[in-house]
Amino acid sequence: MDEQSISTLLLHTLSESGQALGPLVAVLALVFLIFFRDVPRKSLWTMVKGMIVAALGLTIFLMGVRIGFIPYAKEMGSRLVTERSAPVLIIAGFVIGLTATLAEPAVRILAGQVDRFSSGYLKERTIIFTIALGVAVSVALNMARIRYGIPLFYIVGPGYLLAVALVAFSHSSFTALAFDAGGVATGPMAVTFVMSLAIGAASGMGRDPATEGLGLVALVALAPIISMLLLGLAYKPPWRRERHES
Amino acid sequence: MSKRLRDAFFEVAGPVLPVALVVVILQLLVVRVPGELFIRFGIGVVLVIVGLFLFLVGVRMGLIPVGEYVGAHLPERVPAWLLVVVVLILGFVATVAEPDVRVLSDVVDSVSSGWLGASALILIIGAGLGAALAGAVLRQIIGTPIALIFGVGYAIVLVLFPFVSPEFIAIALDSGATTTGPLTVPLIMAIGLGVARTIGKRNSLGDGFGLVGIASLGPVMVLTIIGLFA
Repeated sequence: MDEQSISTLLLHTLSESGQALGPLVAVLALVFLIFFRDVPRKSLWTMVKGMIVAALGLTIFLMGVRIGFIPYAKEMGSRLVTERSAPVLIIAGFVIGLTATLAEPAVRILAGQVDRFSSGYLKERTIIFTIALGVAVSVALNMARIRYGIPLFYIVGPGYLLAVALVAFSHSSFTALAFDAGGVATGPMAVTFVMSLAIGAASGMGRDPATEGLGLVALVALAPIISMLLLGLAYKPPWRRERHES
Repeated sequence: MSKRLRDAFFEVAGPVLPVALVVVILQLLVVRVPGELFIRFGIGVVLVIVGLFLFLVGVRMGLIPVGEYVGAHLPERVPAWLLVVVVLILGFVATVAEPDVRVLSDVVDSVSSGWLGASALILIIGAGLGAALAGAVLRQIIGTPIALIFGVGYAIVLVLFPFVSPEFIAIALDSGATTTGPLTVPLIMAIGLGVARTIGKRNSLGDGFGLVGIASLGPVMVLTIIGLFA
């Protein structure tokens, strides 16, 4: 990649970051000026300074993703399917999914909260492992899906039906936690690296990367919901002392 | 380094470095991607860690305190309908600024054949999330059980899926999943807990949590419905 195209990309990314964060700053500033006139202007100024740092960070992050992560992951995905056998691709997906989730702080934070709310009945380690296993299986399943050309709907459809059925048997607080677990599992690594890996694998198989390559993030979000709900069934209520009214 | 900076650094490096290590092992033992791309991956790892670190520090310095303040005090100051409107707009602009959503629309734009460009997708995801978040706040005010929302929401999506192209199903589900990123989640939680504290006299675990889940249902529903006509 030559210098000129990098500087063009940098300028483009910089203005994109401004456009991304500008509206948020404007709306928050407006909310403050209308509803919180009594709040010192100093805190508004801190907000603006923070947003400038955040915009710089967003620019650098997007540059890294565009220059490094996406092209490399696409190439690796395509080579994994063309040069190696199906089990290698599936195992690589499993390991990458597991590593990314075990090290994801958002997962650890959620697991810690569950541990506390259940007064230690559900251990933090159990939750982290349940979520990570869910993600690892989903990334591996997605690689198998791409390798053998199984439509996404054949996996997601039954998956969500299973989740909805499990919800019917689960306590409402646990349902909420399970769905949040789906949310925290899709960190930046899943969206940037693992997703490009899947798209590369799809194009390496000669399939349409749009229909076959996309859908990974959805599976990554779905799997922990199911694994957490299953865990919730394994632990008989009352897993938490509380009122049963909602 | 202060504790907050250190936390932010580990939060970013935590998921990136182990995966990078797995990638290096794969590169050495399983597949040989050309050296130039591998070097670019290395540069990418550094840029992603530094960039996300600065982003998190900036957001936590300037944005999260403001979001928490609004979440805690706005419900006391404005009537319920105005609160719902403000939440709708906040959800929209926060999603537009979310890094995960940007990368997703980039990738979708690069592979999809259709008319759905990156900026259009970002705006649609933002609108879907804003609407769902407003709905979630409304739910807290009315007190609808959360399982009913998830059940009905996903049931509608599942019923519509057979009529939507596979490409759109993938885009819709992926979009829903990416809305839960480092910017939107803290902001959504702050608003949700603030509303729950002011309005809710009920089970605060069931009400404060689950907001993120409902919020990500929004983009899925909007994109599925658009997919019906695409």
